[in-house]
Amino acid sequence: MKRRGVWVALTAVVAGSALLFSAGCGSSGSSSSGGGGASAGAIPAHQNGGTIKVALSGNVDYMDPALAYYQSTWQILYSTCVKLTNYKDVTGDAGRVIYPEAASAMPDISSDGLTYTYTVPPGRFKFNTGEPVTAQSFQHALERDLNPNQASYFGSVFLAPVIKGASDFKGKPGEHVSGIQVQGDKLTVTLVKPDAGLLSKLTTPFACAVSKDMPVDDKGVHTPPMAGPYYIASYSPNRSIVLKKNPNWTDAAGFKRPAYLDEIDYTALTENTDQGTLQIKNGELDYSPDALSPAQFFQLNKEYGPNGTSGGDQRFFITPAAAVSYLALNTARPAFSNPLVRQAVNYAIDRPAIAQASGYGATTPAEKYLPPQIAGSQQEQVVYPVDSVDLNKAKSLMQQAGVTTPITAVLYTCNQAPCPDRAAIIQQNLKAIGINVQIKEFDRGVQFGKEGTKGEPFDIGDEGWIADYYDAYDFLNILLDGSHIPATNGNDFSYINDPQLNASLDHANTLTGDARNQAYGDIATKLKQPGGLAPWAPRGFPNNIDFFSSRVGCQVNQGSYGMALNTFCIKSGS
Amino acid sequence: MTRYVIRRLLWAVVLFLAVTLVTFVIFYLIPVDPARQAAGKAATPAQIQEVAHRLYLDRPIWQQYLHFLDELVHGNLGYSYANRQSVNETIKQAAPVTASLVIGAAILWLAMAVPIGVYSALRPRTKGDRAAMGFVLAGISVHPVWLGLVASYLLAFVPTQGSFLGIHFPSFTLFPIQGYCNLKGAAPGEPCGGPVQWAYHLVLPWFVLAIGYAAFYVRLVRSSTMEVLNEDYVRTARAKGVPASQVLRSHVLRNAMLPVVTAFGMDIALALAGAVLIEFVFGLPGLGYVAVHSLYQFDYPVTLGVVVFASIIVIVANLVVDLLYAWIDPRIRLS
Repeated sequence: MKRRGVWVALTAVVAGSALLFSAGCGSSGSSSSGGGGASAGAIPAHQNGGTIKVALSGNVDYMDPALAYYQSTWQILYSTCVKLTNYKDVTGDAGRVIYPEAASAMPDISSDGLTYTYTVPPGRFKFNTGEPVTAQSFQHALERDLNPNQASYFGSVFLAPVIKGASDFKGKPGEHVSGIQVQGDKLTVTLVKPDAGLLSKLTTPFACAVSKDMPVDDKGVHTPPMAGPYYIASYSPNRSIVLKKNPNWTDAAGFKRPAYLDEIDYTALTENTDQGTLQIKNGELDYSPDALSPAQFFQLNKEYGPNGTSGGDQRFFITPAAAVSYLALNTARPAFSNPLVRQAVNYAIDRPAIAQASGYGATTPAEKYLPPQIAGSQQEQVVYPVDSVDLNKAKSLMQQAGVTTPITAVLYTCNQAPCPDRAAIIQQNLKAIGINVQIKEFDRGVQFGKEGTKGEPFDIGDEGWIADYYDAYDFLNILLDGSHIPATNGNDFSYINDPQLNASLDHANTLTGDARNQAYGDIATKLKQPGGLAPWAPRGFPNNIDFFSSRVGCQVNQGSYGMALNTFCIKSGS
Repeated sequence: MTRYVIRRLLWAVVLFLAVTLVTFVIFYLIPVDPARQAAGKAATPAQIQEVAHRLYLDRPIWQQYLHFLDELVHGNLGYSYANRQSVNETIKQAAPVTASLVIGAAILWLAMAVPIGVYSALRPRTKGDRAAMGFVLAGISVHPVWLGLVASYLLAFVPTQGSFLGIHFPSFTLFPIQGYCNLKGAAPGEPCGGPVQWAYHLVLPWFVLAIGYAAFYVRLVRSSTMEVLNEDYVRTARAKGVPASQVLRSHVLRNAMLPVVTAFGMDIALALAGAVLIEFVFGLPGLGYVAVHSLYQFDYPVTLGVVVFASIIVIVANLVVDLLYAWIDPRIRLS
């Protein structure tokens, strides 16, 4: 979920949220200290029903599951969708385990890994219109993603390369994708090559059950019928969204997915962040995940965080997003062609200082390639210093590398705060090991495009990546498999192309379960260990920020999707 | 007069084409690929190329521009890259918000500036005049974003808190912190609507947008009125025994308002730009907000649509001012 439109999303990650800084929030506390996940176990006395008011600061794209790609709309779709398999409304690692939802069990996967068969008992779930959810609901959903007339670019990026017949599908009336077949209550998905990430892909909104009558419309359907706890009753771009409780909602999968509120009204979609903070403080609004003033984060955490001075329940939450921020070290250029120099950079950068430059709560310093939400992260070992620098080690690696210092390295970064501040710290850090950093600032969109162009003269890219779906493939294979680096629009910003690494990544993607997690964890660890390729210097995990009014309770910070709207309630006496 | 109008209209068309062309070229030159944005960050080059073709981005710039003009002639401003909504619809929804803000603020600034300016001109160097000049200095100096944030904090947030700087009082709601209500009535999901709520939610934005212009117009009205007061025809009218109120109304104000009307036409256009800041501060879903947000997203069709729409408004406003000016002063059309 933690991916959105390219520039919006990556600007947020890379800039550590430019807004975070604009507020001059470089407060002193550790940016990781604010944590605290709302847990499903602490449900306060509450009333059923009622309406809460939510505000967003402009990041809304589509309500149509085939098109939605922004974080805020995936948050909505998490609470309105029923999928074949899904996550439960629980926090932490347990919230990252995939369970059958509309399917009666996890799919039967053929021994060659090419056929996934789901059994979907009809009518277990119903859309708000009363229509039962059947295997056809998912067939239609996936075919909408693949239908050229729907132009679901994001969905087709994930699904088209692996589903059999997808590339031949023209979307004519009555036509079906040969690799998506329904017989009775069985839905069979046939692949052209094994893709163990398919399970994760099918837990995204692209696989949300849709009504059999849902039209193919490349502009997107504003109020699609929904079978989840809530449905989208109305959507007016730039104005409002209304979610209402699905009258036909039953927790048929036994997920214990609640739907306490009658209505969730997004009353403002163009909220100013300073004003949004004030409005939640005084109760005019009940919740916002983004219309919040970064300048206030330190104070808000102090007053309303896990041990807030204002007393009462926690209202302000800082939790890691499924994203990673890193320095891409361009292996195709002389400055970082030697892996020992790249290793040295990893020991020389001051991750807490860099995180602090991004503002309070923006980033949790880290040295891992995989965010904690991604399976495999637990298996990835910590190698580099997280809380400090190890200059001696860094200098020693530079000596071993045998390079002549000073080395000149060109750093590409964005021109919005806090990127320049962060670049200044990196420049200072690397000077200590004989690397003179020249900083070049660009608009974030321009930076992204330049770094993705082969031959662009940069040595370090201050980069970030938000998960498209919760699988290590979306990080490691997408960003580090160098076997097909395009001339433009590439994502392998370190331009690493190591046959052994490529083969390991390909192999890991054929595995499932623990073996898969271990394989990806091992790959990431190996990149960092002595002798490793070290194509990046990971520097942290960006955080999600959520703030609630005093009357909202029952929040569950879902392990994968963040705050689950359907879990919110109004506390008794509010 | 007809020739004058035709000449002005032709210039308006040329100006309009120039604005759209320059805007189009500027966007074309920015080294960002909208197709990649639309395709998603994990898209392959082939997929991006497909999107580029679909969005008409793989054609030469002149073809893209002609395509844009062709669509424009047919009343279609295109579709957003970010959410595929019709730009026409987006503008149709946002324009009334900006119009509400700018027209309301314009009325407010004139309502403040004309009496204060005339009063100052009639009683120069008095305490009242000095107070007015103090207002002018403050009004021109203060930045609307600062003023907006402070006004909403002090006048909208603080009253709801029941205490300020250690002083306690019963909490109450004076103004909303931000937001917009439709003039006609509340749409689904919107918390408010109707004329009263519309005006109530716009009072602070109107005040904040108007204050700088009001300050400028006080000076303008004051200096223009003082200048006219010293004209021979005013002296003659007085000497003829015309009552002071009639001299002021028929001789002074009518002539003193000429530069004000000219400036007003220009400033309505400038206020559209100023509205961007106010819309951001008060979370108003108007054209300014739409334009800035689209720039952040490299959503060129929307940005271009707003530019085209704003250009039309500015050109029409200037045209109206020119015609009004010619009506007030017949010598204009003769020249």
